[in-house]
Amino acid sequence: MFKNEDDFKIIVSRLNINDKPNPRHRESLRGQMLSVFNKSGEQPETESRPLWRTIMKSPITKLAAAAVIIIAVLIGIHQLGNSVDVTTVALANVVENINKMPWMHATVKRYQNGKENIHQQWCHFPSEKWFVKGQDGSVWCFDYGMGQKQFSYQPSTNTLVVDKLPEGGLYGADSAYNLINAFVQYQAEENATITEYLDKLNGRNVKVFQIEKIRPVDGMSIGPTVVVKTKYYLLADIKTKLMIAVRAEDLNKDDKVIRYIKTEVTYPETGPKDIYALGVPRTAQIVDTREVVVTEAKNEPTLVSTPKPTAGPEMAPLAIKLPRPMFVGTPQDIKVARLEKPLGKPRPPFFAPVGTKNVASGKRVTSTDEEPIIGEIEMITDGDKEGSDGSYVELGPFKQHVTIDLGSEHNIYAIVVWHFHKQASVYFDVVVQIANEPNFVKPKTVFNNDIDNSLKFGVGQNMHYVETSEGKLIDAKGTRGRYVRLYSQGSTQNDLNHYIEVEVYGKDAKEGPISAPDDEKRRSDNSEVKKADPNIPKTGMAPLQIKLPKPMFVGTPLDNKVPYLKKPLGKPRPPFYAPLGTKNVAFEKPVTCTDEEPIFGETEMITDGDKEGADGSFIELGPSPQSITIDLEAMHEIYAIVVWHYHKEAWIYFDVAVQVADDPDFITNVRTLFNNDIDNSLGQGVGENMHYVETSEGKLIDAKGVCARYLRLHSNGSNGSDANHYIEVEVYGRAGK
Amino acid sequence: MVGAMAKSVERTDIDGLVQRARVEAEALSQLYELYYERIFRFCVHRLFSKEVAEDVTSTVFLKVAGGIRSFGGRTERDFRNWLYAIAANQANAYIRKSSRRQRLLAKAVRSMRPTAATSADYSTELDWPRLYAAILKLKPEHQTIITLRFFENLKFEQIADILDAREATVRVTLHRILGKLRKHLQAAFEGEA
Repeated sequence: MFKNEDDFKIIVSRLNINDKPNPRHRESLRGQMLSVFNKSGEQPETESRPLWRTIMKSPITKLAAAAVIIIAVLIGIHQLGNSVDVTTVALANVVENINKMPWMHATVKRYQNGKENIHQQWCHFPSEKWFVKGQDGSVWCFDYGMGQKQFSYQPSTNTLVVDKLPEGGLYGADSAYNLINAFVQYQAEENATITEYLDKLNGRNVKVFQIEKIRPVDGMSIGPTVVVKTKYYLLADIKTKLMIAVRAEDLNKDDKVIRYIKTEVTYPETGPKDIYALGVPRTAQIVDTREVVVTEAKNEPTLVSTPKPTAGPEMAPLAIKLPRPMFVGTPQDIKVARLEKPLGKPRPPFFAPVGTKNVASGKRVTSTDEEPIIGEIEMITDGDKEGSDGSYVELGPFKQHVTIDLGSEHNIYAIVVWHFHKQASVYFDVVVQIANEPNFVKPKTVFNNDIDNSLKFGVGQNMHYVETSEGKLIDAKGTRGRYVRLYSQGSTQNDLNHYIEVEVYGKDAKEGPISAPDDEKRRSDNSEVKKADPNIPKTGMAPLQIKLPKPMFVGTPLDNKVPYLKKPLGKPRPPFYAPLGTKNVAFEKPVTCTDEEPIFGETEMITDGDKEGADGSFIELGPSPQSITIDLEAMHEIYAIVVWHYHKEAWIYFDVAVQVADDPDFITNVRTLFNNDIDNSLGQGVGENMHYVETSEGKLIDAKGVCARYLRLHSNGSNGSDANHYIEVEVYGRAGK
Repeated sequence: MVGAMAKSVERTDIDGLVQRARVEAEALSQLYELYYERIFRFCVHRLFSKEVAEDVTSTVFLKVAGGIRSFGGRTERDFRNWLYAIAANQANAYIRKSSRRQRLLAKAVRSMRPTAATSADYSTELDWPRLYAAILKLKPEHQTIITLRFFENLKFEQIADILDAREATVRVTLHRILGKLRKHLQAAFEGEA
């Protein structure tokens, strides 16, 4: 077997592959190709393809275009009141390239009346979120995606207002689309030609698209000064074909700039995880002005469900956004036993307690088929319910299941499943279960149409049903659980199993005012200091020999406004005493993690002994809560755990929890040794430990001689990144009795 | 020195061809001559079957013919990246269709069956059908990286250009892909043992 890339190269070079082309095919294809080329010349593609045609191609492009327009056009043209004709293929290419980037960050400088004001903007295209941070610390977030809401934080009142998206205006609910319409209108108005030329910006070769607009005589005024000309510049990097800067300038009759807006754009890999990452204190008072938590998006969704109950908690119909119906034509004659008769009309509304929402959105999904034939498992909770190609995951034949981890215990009222609604098919042995443990030891079955007990869960009482764009709504009757598992076993079309989307409508079981532990309680997190007191007599004890890596962090730490933050010691950590013979028992032990595709590195790095903060020494796991599990391969008495997440930066990792257990699934004898999750976002309870800043010393956790074989470490991003990192974890202990 | 100059002139000529190919059939024809074999070979390595490779190669060049007039690139590098990107997308699209994927897989597996003449160390030798069957278990995008790197012998920088990714990303991804490939092959060997 090959060991590395060079080995593999040698293997490939020895393969006997018949890849000699057929001359006849070559000649025949040449003729066809030239024929197509000549035909395309008869109706020449216009060199000045209108930009809006490119923009309108896909919803994602629309958002990317909106981003450009918001920055390049609205902030420039709309606010300065101008109109232009922008028709250039090259500029369209720039817009197209932006939609390939996950994040866009813009630093916007506005100058007027001798004052400059700066604010920052981040746009996350996949989730359709737009973050804005003002110079005064005010923060906005416009969630045009699943959330359909806006947040605004004012530091003067320390209030965070949650509201519906505005109807119109710069950040209105439909702005992404209105902007394009506006742009199309601009180009239909008075003409202004773009000049293109090459230039340099900060050492980079850039193409400049310059738009010059002469104002009419009765044009705009700023105070007593009449604006006679406005210039716009859009600078695109030649190499990446990405927009990197935009400028708009208003000039007076002497050609002097009297007002400008300068925007510099970058495309970082990550951005703010939420508004708190932009400095909104977690202590901010939250005011939710919305009447209903889940709002209906314009024109598209249909309300669905059961009659409103007359007693019990306040109920509201679930707003389930339905995809476009895909199936057209005559359904095949489906001969399936116990088949539910189609309603023949839209499903009636389903009522659930007010505040119920889709809690599966973006949550982690696992599957029995780790290598889907088509698509990715993540598609099941990505919000895309369209029946088209590219929206579904195809799992292998026979019995398969997928499991959604909601992250914490929820009261679940409804589950909506879209297997595959492009065809009118019936899926067999559909069983839906809810459990509180990941291995479904005690599941609660909420749906079962397995008529012959082929899944061995008993014969189900539910009926088969035909797939439609409405999805199958399953009444979960408020069942409590953290994990939702869905089984199926092929369909009337073929043996394969498909999922487009699964939505789980519920409420956090612990919803309500969360009483975060007070500072006093959290101050008990000084275990390492207590244990380290060298004056305590220590018979049979010795200080741990922890080899520390080189300190890496230099520069100014982030402005840490993280609550419950442990004050740095300001000096090296005092020695930690443990029984003689204690050593790092995690060295080179197997590690597994919840992120099957780490962004960087391999899980083995966590116990490889390399604690340096340099690139290549750490593993980067995806965003949202992630955990790693170390198998010590035998029971051990554990005295201390030292964790280095990432000490190249002085970051603070959130929701750090360290647990030990006797089994790999963390079911038996689970003990929590450290937990600084202040809002129970991990679902492991509110922790009593404090946040801490990463350093090259690592975080030492006193394990008090606990006996266990498995160790699990949770985290949920940091104040510097929404990804999760591990450089090394050391577990100091000795063989257990 | 003279050699370097000649190379430079040659490159400039191909750049010129790329620019002229937007309007001149003859220039497009010359580019076709330069790239037909490379693209065909790429398709064979991605799709295992020569017949399928011919179909996909045809689609690639017909797309090129239909789109060259609005192609924004100016250099051979731009053209090559565009061409390989089309080829990779077409091959991936072909493989993504499950029935086709299964057909390809079945064909590869059939070719893997040992014959009476198989040597005793069959289970440790790697042949093309067996390797292809393992490659086919990877994600289509990862299959493309393997093909570009090991069969087309492209540099990381070139692969990054084609895939519109960072060079470092391609390096790290390839490292992981090889790990997965090793596991798939190991499993295949153990299954046969």
